[in-house]
Amino acid sequence: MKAVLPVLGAALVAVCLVSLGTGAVPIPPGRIVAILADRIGLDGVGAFEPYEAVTLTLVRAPRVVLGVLVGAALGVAGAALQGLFRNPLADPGLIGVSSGAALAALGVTLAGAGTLVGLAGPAALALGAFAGGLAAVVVVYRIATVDGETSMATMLLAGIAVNAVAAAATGLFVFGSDDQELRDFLFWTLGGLGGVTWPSIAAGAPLLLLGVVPAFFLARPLNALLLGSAEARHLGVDVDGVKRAVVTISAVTVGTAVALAGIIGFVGLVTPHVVRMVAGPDHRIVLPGAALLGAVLLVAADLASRTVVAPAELPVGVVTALVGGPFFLWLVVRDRRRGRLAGASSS
Amino acid sequence: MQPSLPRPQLLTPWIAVCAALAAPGAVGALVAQEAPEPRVVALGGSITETVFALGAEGLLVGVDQSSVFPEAARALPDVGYFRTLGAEGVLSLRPDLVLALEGSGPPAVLDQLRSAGVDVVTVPADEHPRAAIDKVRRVAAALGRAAEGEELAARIAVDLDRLAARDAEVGGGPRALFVWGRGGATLQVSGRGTAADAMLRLVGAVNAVDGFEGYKPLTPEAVVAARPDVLVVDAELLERLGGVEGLAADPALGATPAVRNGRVVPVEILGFIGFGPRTAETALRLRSALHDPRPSP
Amino acid sequence: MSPGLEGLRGRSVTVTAGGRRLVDGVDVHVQPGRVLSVVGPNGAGKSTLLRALSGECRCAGGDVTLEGRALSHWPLCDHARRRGVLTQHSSLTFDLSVEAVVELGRMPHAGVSDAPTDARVVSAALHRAGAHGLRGRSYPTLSGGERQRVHLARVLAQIWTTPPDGGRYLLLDEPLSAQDLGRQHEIMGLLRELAREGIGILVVGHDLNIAARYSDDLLVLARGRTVASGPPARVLTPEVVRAAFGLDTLVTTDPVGGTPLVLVTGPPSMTTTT
Repeated sequence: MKAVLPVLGAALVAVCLVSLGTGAVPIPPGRIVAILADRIGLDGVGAFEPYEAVTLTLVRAPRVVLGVLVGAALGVAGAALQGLFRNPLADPGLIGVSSGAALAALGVTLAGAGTLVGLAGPAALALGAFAGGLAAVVVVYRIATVDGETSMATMLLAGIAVNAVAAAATGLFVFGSDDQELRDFLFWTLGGLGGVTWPSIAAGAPLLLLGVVPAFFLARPLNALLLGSAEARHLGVDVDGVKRAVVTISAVTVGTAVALAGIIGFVGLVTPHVVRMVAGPDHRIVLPGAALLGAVLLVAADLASRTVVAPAELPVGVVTALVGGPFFLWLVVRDRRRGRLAGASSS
Repeated sequence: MQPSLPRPQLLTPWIAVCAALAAPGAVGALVAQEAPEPRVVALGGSITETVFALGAEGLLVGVDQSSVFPEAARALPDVGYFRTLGAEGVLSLRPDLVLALEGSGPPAVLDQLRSAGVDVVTVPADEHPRAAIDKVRRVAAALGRAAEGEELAARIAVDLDRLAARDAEVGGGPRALFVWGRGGATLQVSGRGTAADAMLRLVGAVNAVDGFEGYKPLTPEAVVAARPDVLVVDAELLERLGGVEGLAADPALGATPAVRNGRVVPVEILGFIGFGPRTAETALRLRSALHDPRPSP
Repeated sequence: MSPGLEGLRGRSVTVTAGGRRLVDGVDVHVQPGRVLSVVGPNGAGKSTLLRALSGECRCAGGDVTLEGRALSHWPLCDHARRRGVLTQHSSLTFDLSVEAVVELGRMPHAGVSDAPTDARVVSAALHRAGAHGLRGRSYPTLSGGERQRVHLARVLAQIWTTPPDGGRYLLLDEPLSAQDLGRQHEIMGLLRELAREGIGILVVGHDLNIAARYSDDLLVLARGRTVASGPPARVLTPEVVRAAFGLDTLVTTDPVGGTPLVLVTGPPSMTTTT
């Protein structure tokens, strides 16, 4: 089923082109070509309005690029965690990354006495979210590791506990907030690709790639881990090394993604699942497949979020959850009907 | 005219693509296109209100979600919540001028608007009554209606002066509690240092909950303990809670002197704490409601 | 045969858990070219001993060496290329094909082996494990016995080739538990064959007579301690079986192979009264 990857690649190119060409500001394809030609130094390809050029190159294009990067990062992190936990329902949110990142971001915001979106230094928010995600994961990982052995079950439980504590601390912050701060926070937790700029992408992309690219080298060890930790170790896999790598990768990617785009649910959960249904559980396909599908989904969701209620925007997390939630339920119900363990098998 | 854009400078190979796409647009070229009537997007309820008060509503091509007054503002295209804007939505309205209440954003979006040649004017959101005067002057200046602005600002100043004068006469006003939300059994109230606190002081009342700063949910017992003589309630909320009768049915609120004596004053929230053109007028009305109690039933 | 090799050796292996000694001072030696069966009642520490020998759990006392080198000093892949472990339960629930499962056995050879070689080994390993007919099937659809044979093929694929500088070893935890009578003898016959090819084999089992017929050595455990060890003919006596299992038995000679044949003479309740 290696055909899945070229198909997804083509889908990604298509959805990016559509997304670039669509939006509240109508820009005919001819003008898009003219703008791009102008940008690479070709004059006289065609006429266009300056505001169209700005919309295309400073507003839409960064969103599409960020959608690709964040979607891919969330997909890969979800796929790697599901492989590690041998649980198709695992999700970066499960081990505390998202809530830790969210809490830290909120803390940074309040400490700066600013508001979430209007913070003086968006870099501080990003760094805070990243550090918060990493800290949550380190805590969870430490709790679950005794004598160098990491128990996945303990890690899940610790993740639930860390999530609860983070949620409570977030609640404490929210307790003293006014209406406006509450709205800011709520919007932020729903995620969004709006307001992204090339400099912020330039800052975040290396971190995202640093997480995504090494993940592909974990495909075979993750396959071995499907047999169980002991079996994988007998096959010569440095199981604890793989656990550390996956956990670090998910903290780096999800923390950075949260910092750049807020909390975007369901992409990490659904994409590996779908790829596995179509192409089987081999991580050599699931990891890149989830990256591609995650990118496709997020770019498409962002397109919907900025066109459905234009000139206003829906938070992109609302779109992904609105589409992802029912779809995931359908998957679970379908698998149950067929008398299978949800997600563990495919057609 | 075909605008020629400056060539990008390649910083490092890695951001070459970013740089190519991010090269600042030819802003200067665009601002030159002068329309007799600018197309304006107003961000923030008090800004929109001010534009209307200046009689410039004809220029408005869009407002944000918080622009709920006057009624006509609700009919304009809505670009979303003013703190989480999307640049393209605003640009699609082809504005020449964006009047943004301080805090509008994200900042990157405002920058993107500026890159597209839109004149973005940020108006301070200070939370004290005199800020309304400054707000009117700035909005008027941006719209090129300085004369109308001075007139309106003068009217507001006169009202505020009247309030100040009356303040000097009266001492030890009633204890007032401003209620802007309700979740479960708790009420959302405003403590010290809030916009509502400033307004209550302006009208010569004592904030019944000045024991803490900022916004807090208040438990039923604390509501009773606050002993408010007057409840100042967001009008929409009061309607949702079933009017004064609804408040009386609540065990905690029903036990307060304010509700027992029927002293509940509904306020339109944007007029009350928006610090826009209606601030002084609202304050005057509130003041008479506070100091000239209706006869007890 | 690979004489001269040190083999896989455990000296006074002790494993504790929750304050209990699951394995208590057991000596064990898996020699190239020989089949060692570990038998004993439930909870005797057989699987724990196997896990200690495979490096899966740590020894609280004693040491385990593979060809003279402590397990912890072996590079993971090097270790994995010469020692396969068949565990009792695999948690695999994902929808892998049979070939994909067996191919996982080739993991330690990544970079050393190539794809055609791997494919050839996978096919041959399936053949030897009697699982060739399962090719193309999806793992979750297999029966317990079929899954067991697929995993056997996987560990065979793992140690398919002899490393230039040492021997090969197989540690099997109850490989017969889900097999029918015919398959049981087929698999034990395969283990004998593998031993002839020089592989050192440790197999945990329950059937004393099958162990006696196919093994070079027996290790009888009870409550974590060694009850007896050595060639079946010397080890399998009514006294040893009684000490380990609390059963009265008659030990005679198997007319087929000439190995000891253990016959239980009565249920445990009767043995206590006689």
